[in-house]
Amino acid sequence: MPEISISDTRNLIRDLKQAYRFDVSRYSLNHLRFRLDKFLKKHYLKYPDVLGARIAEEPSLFQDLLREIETPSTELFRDPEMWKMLANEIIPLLVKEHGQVSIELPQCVGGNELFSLCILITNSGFSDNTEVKASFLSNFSMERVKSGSLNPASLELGMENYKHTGQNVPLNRFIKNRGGEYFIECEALNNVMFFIRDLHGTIPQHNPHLILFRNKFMEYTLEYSRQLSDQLINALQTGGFIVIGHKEHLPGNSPSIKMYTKSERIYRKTV
Amino acid sequence: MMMEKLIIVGGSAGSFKVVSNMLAALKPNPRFSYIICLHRLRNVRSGFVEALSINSGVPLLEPNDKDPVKPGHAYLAPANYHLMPDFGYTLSLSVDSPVNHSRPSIDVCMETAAEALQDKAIGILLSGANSDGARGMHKIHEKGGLTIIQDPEDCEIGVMPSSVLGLFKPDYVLSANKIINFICHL
Repeated sequence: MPEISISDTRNLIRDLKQAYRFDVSRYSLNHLRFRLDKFLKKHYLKYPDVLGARIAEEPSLFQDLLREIETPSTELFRDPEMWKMLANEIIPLLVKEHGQVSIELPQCVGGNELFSLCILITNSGFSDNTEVKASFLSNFSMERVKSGSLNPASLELGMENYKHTGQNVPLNRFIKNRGGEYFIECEALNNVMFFIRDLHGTIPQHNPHLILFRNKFMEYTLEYSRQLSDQLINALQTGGFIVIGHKEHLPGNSPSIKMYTKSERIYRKTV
Repeated sequence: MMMEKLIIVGGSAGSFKVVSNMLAALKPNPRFSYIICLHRLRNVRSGFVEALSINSGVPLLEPNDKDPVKPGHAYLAPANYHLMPDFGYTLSLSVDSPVNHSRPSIDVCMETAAEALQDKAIGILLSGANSDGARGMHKIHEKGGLTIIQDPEDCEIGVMPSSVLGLFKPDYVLSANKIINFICHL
């Protein structure tokens, strides 16, 4: 719950811009305050008014802020109908049309979204036909996801979701307990290309056939969401798909994108 | 006419019937909008808003992220998202971690509403089995908004409103029927 005031948040935006040229004004105020409050509590920082100055002095604190500021993915196979559609329709269609399919997950954080995708790809036998790229804002998040580390708090819900995806292979096959911690192990995860990238102002280096960007627009201001949406749609190959959260609007008004499935907010680039 | 007040209703176990009766009693009034933030199953997306809409006297919607708050409308916090009334009368959704084991969390909803709307927020907390909502009600109170709790004696489970009494003295402690009557005559 946000304890940090709006004026403290605005001061922090200014300080971070000056110290690191990192512009957090792209995040909506409510989202930013929510995360900053979590950050303050984590580091036992009692004075939000000096937070910006502290972070400016300590680069390691800034790195940790980058980790905290990213959108988490909540649990494995959130919205099972979307995963079912991806497994039964979208990915097979793309493989049929292109042979080799490029899939991108920008601003990946907790890993659940990536793990879910990799399990589906492994189950469907498309590991050799797909190239998955996952980008991160912070190195810490990337290394954690690379290791396959699972958050046990959301595992039960993830397992319940999986039952509704129509997959025949038991989820347990992909979950390993090592020293009391849970990890995902699957063929497709071994082939993922991990890299650090801040989407802000970045020119895409490649053109994916499928972009998963669920529940991420919601953390940004409307203005920035529009820019980001244009950027992602421009990068997408013609005939490719972009999936956003089922409670999000695709910002902007690109004529090249058409709704493919309204209930799951799957869009297709037509021209 | 501009919306004058945003009424945020929070509840958990034992609150569904009260909310259903409340919505049935409401008449469209452009001076007010309503947010209903109830604890619900995280992985069941449909059925809740449909059930509450059946007898509702005002349009009840499950908002998408950044939807505007329309006068005279009621909004139900979607499953597995926090709902945050934003500046400029829009509704933000979030998938941040559960608060008080809840997403949507009533505290998150009420605290952000209090910060954004100040004394234009009215908080109502109903029956429930944990303390989610107590801090949010306190924040509304601190910002000058009106606070009403269901009398714990009148609740199926009174833990939630009792938690408010442990923090501060709300403006009103009323039975479910009196709360409904109160908001219908605002």
